[in-house]
Amino acid sequence: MATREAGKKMIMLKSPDGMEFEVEEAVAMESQTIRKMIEDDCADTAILIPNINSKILSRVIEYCNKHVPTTGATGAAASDTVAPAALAEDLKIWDAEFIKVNRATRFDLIQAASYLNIKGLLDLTSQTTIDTISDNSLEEIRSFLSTKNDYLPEEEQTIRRENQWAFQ
Amino acid sequence: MEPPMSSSILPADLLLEISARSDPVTLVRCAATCKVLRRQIADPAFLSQLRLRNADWFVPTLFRGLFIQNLREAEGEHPRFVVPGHSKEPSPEPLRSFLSKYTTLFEFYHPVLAARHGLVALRCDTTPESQPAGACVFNPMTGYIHFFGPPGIKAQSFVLLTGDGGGDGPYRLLAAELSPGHLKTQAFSPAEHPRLWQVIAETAVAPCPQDAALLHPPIVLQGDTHWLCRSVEYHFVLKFSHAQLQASVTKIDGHCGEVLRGRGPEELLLVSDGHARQPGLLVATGLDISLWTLSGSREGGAWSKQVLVQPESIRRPGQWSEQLELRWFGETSGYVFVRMSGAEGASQSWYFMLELAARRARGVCKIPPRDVLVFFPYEMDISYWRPNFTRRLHY
Repeated sequence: MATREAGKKMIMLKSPDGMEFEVEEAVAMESQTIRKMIEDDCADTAILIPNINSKILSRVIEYCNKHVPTTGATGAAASDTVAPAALAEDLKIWDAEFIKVNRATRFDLIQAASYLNIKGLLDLTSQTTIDTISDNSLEEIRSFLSTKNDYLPEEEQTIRRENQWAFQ
Repeated sequence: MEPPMSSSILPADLLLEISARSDPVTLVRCAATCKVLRRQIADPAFLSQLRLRNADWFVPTLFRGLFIQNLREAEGEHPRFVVPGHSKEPSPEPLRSFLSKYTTLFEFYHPVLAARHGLVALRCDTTPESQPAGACVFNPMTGYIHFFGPPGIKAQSFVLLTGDGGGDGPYRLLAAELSPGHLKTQAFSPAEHPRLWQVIAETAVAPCPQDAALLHPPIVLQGDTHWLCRSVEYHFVLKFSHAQLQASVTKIDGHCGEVLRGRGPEELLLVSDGHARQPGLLVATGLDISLWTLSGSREGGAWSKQVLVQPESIRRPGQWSEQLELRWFGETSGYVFVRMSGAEGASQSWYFMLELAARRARGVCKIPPRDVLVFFPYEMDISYWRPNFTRRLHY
């Protein structure tokens, strides 16, 4: 659990499996969904995040913690001495490590990023996923995305023929 | 919307979110996985959200068409843009608007110094009033155009370097001159201030025969420029990193080296393998076109040959020379533009498009040379590409 620091407003996020996460408001507001709840004053004590389990929620918080802009009295110390380009490079390396997870976790993160409306996390998770399958065959992509083939054999033939260059 | 607790199945809107960031090949395959995705990918609302990147494979539909201008007619004909198969139709927009605004562009600018990701660079020797002699870079899809002076070096070749984003984003036009032992380069970028050619850089090239010369055009693979170079003794591939000012040389020896000896520069063309990793070398011998690729490591590898086009598929009835000219390579579409001249040399020309991925050559048109002086292919940037699906799958 995070400890309360002077001058920082903390809020509580609750996962449906009963875990509670105390986070800085600024960190939680990386999520546009939570930001809206806070701004609409719907978040007095604790916010229940429906359907995102504690394992995924803790990863999402970890991401937001890393990506929250370091401004203000306490947060500025680190960014004052580091050039923006170096900071961006550091974030990129951190992101690459962060996203080294299995397919199920990544899919959960995509859904969490979409529900919580965290653009950076949605970009990262979607891009990594599509990069994973970009050299794959149609059958491999279908299996990876768990989409069900509902084409008739002759329809699939038409599809392959109309853009033959994509199936060579 | 509430996501399920944990699931290995993504809802359709997130599958679309993912597909939008792919490349044309992967996007078309995603659309082929199931009907819902196909319908949504074909939806114009989705197409405006596409953020595609270039594929590691050739995408022939990035080839947009050809610029044509008849310059010798007394009352100058305006330039046109022709889409193969629709040659009788007017130039498509936005190319028509661009060409009607710059009707004299091709009269003064020699096509084509370099082209990449929808941008085209032309050189000018004589100029219209109010514009400096030198070069210009334009994107006919966006209407972007920029004129600037000539570089300070005696450039033998030019290359356009663009970022991943493509479009009119930061680009560099790099001029290059190979002298014994070193490569002189000078870059122009509209993003730098002042907007002038930058300092001339010199990069050591070794080994480098005294008479070595760059053959134009080069190709760009993973940010590095590759030139085919010739000398009396042998040919070699010069790989150059502009960012690091480093050059490396791969000598072409063995059987391939022997084949290259004595071939004219127009019979050789550097191409990519379609995966943007290794350069390949197209060689026209008579009416036969072969692709040479280097297998194995650069040092220990050997060049091996595949025949791409047999003479029978190119030969045309009538009096034609038994010689081909390899004029242009489209790095994203994988098309090669080939010219066959008449038996008399100067009579007329047959133009072909060779599709590298399918290893197929198609005749484009037959043109009397006195009529056309400007005739060059154009590949658009990925940001203009849209998938093409037949409306109905069955009737």
